[in-house]
Amino acid sequence: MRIGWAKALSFLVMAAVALTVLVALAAPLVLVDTRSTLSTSEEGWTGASEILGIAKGTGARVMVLTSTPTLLLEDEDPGKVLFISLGPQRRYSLTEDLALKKFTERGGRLLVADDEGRTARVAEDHGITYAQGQLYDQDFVGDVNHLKFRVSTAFFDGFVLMNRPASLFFTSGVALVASSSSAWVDQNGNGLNDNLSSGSPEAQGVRYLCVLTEPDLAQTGGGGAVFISDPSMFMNGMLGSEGNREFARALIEFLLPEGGRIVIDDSVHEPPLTSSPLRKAVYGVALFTTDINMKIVVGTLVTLALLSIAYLYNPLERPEHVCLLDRSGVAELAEPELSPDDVREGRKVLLDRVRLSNGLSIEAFSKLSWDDLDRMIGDRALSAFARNGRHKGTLGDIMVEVGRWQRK
Amino acid sequence: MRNHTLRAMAYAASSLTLLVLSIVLSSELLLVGSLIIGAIMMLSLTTLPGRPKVSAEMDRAQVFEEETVRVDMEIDSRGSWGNIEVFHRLSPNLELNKGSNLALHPPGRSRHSFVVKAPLRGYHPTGPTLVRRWDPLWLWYRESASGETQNLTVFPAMHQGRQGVVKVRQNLHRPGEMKFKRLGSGKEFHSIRDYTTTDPFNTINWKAFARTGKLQVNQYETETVTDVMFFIDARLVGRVGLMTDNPVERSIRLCASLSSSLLSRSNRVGLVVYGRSVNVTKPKGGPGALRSILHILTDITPSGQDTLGSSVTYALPYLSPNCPVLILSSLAEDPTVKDAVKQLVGRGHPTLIVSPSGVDFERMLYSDVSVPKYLLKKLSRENLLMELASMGARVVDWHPEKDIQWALMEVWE
Repeated sequence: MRIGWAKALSFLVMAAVALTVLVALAAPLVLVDTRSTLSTSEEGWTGASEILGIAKGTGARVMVLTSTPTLLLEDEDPGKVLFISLGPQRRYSLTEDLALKKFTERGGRLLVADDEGRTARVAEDHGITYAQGQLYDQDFVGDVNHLKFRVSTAFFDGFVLMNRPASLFFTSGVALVASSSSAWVDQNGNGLNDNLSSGSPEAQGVRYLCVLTEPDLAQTGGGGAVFISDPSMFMNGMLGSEGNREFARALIEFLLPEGGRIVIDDSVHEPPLTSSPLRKAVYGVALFTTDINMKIVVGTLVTLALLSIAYLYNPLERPEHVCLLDRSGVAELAEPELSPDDVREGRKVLLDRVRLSNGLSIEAFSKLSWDDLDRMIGDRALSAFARNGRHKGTLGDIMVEVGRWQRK
Repeated sequence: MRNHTLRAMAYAASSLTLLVLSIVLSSELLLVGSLIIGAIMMLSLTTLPGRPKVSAEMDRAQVFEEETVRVDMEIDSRGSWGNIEVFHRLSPNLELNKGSNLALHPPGRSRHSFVVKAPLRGYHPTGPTLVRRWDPLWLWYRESASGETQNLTVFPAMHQGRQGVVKVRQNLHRPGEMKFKRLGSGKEFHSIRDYTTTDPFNTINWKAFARTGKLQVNQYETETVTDVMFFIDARLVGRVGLMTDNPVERSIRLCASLSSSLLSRSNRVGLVVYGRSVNVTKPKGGPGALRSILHILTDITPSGQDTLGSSVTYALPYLSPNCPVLILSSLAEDPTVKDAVKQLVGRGHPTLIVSPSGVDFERMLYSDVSVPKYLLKKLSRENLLMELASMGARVVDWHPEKDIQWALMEVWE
């Protein structure tokens, strides 16, 4: 017999599994910002398909990650991987943050371009903080949003153009791109420099737009990261401006270990609209099955679902001929022991026995006196039993005496 | 509907577990293993044999208790993979005597037989046949029923016993079935006499005519027939003891045996069965009467608490004047017995009570265990029988250890 609550629980578990699958399918539609994209599969102005071409141009093996950076944990040789994340449209999960941190600790190299602070935790793990607000500087091209910076490093010397960049603080490492000393950050977003005093948050000064966390990365060959506070410089539409394309190529080549691979993270971007719903579904399932936490959740739910199915399973009944002919029944001896309630029936048995032995009718027998009855019985113990039910020994003993009694 | 087995569950669980592990461990090997198991399951699923034609025939539809019936089954199905399991349903009141009603056959044409023993009277349903079609790996099956339910009629066993006259009362004339050695229209030859014009032609003894040249006719003994009414106690309390041997079954077997004897000698037999209700069958004789009575006896189901008193009151209009009455009852837990017997005897019905001792049937179930109440109930029963005998009825106390032959000897004078 199955218990009702247990059955209900089993159904709940299976419902949870079904819900998880649905959530997995719907996840990409909810988790990813659909307003803009720096996806490698997007070939429009805002896409990053040209970066994919630049990466391929390095001769390295290039992979586009569509599930989750957690997979980096499973890479056997992260020291030969350059991981590129451009303008993520969602925050990385804690597991993904951990995976990226472990990745650089194990020798992996990271290139992150973000101006909205979605990779703030990743940056903090590497000693870098995003400054809130758009950076303004005196060297702009066309309008104040497009800033031109000189880059002078070992691997690149030239100008780059950025669009509405943010800025970075860092505690260790080296700045690859810096502003002029008259740059300021519009922290309150009003478009005005509210520099009322030298201690103002919007005070003018040098700001940093690109930071390399490990200055001797090229010499040691170890892991490290480059954070850039403007992802838009890698958009297809911006790569042609100033020396953006060359800078991007030079930076990638600088960061790419010898014989290494390039992984471009597209898991943080919405798939292009031309993708079929099936691809979106697979994308969601992949997301849920590659994240370690999701793996645990999905694995547990699948196990519970299996257990639930096993519980609800009605085992096969082996047909068998059941013969019920060996059944038995009792009635008068259902209670085999004598009880005090049986004294009355015992007296009746004795009196009937005496009456029938003497051939008397009930009427005639009832007219007899107790003395006449005593004489008929001829046994003091039986007479006492007949009179008031008193008896020595058990009721069974007196019944044996009744059975032996015969008319004298 | 397609059903699955625990083995299929194990296959599915293995496949899913490998799938989850392959995802967690990013192992292609485990994924391949998962897919192979899944493929095997699906492959096996597609190889169920075709729906078979199953027929089951009994060699006899009517038997007496303790006789056997042979059931022949024929199974014919398409396909060459998988297995076919057949199970011919049998009433729980039937015993398997030889073979089994459960069989496993490969697809194709095959036969199966088994023998059933019928230890207990009644209309016992057999069939339909449950058919399960299995895939080769015993993962899936489909279940269906084939054929119709047939009734196996098991009549109560009849025993010949010693033939004679129903002995209803000691030292009195015989009101039961009697034969007189005098002329009449019976069947037993008595003598030859000369033909008279009123004699029917079919009584002419042609051999005597040829020998003597005179027309002579056969004379037969006359037979006086009478109605005998049975009162059968079919209350639930009469089913104490074993299913196959209890006061009700004993009463029914004795009634069948006595009815057979009485009817074979041109008497008429009537039945009053009381239990859940009172059912009266008017006395009847002639061909077909025995079969009719046997069917009534076969159909009895011990139940209810109607009393002998109420059944006598109900049946009195159906009793022929002074006809003998045979009461077959354990007499247990019926306070109306004395009044009922008094009423019958008072109306001139010679009354014979054959009482299988219910309390002794119960005592036998306890085997060697002490049952203190037994003596009380036994003495109470003895008093009752004694009192009934004192009323003018003849009482036969039928102990379970005495067989039906003994009871027949007690009944026939």
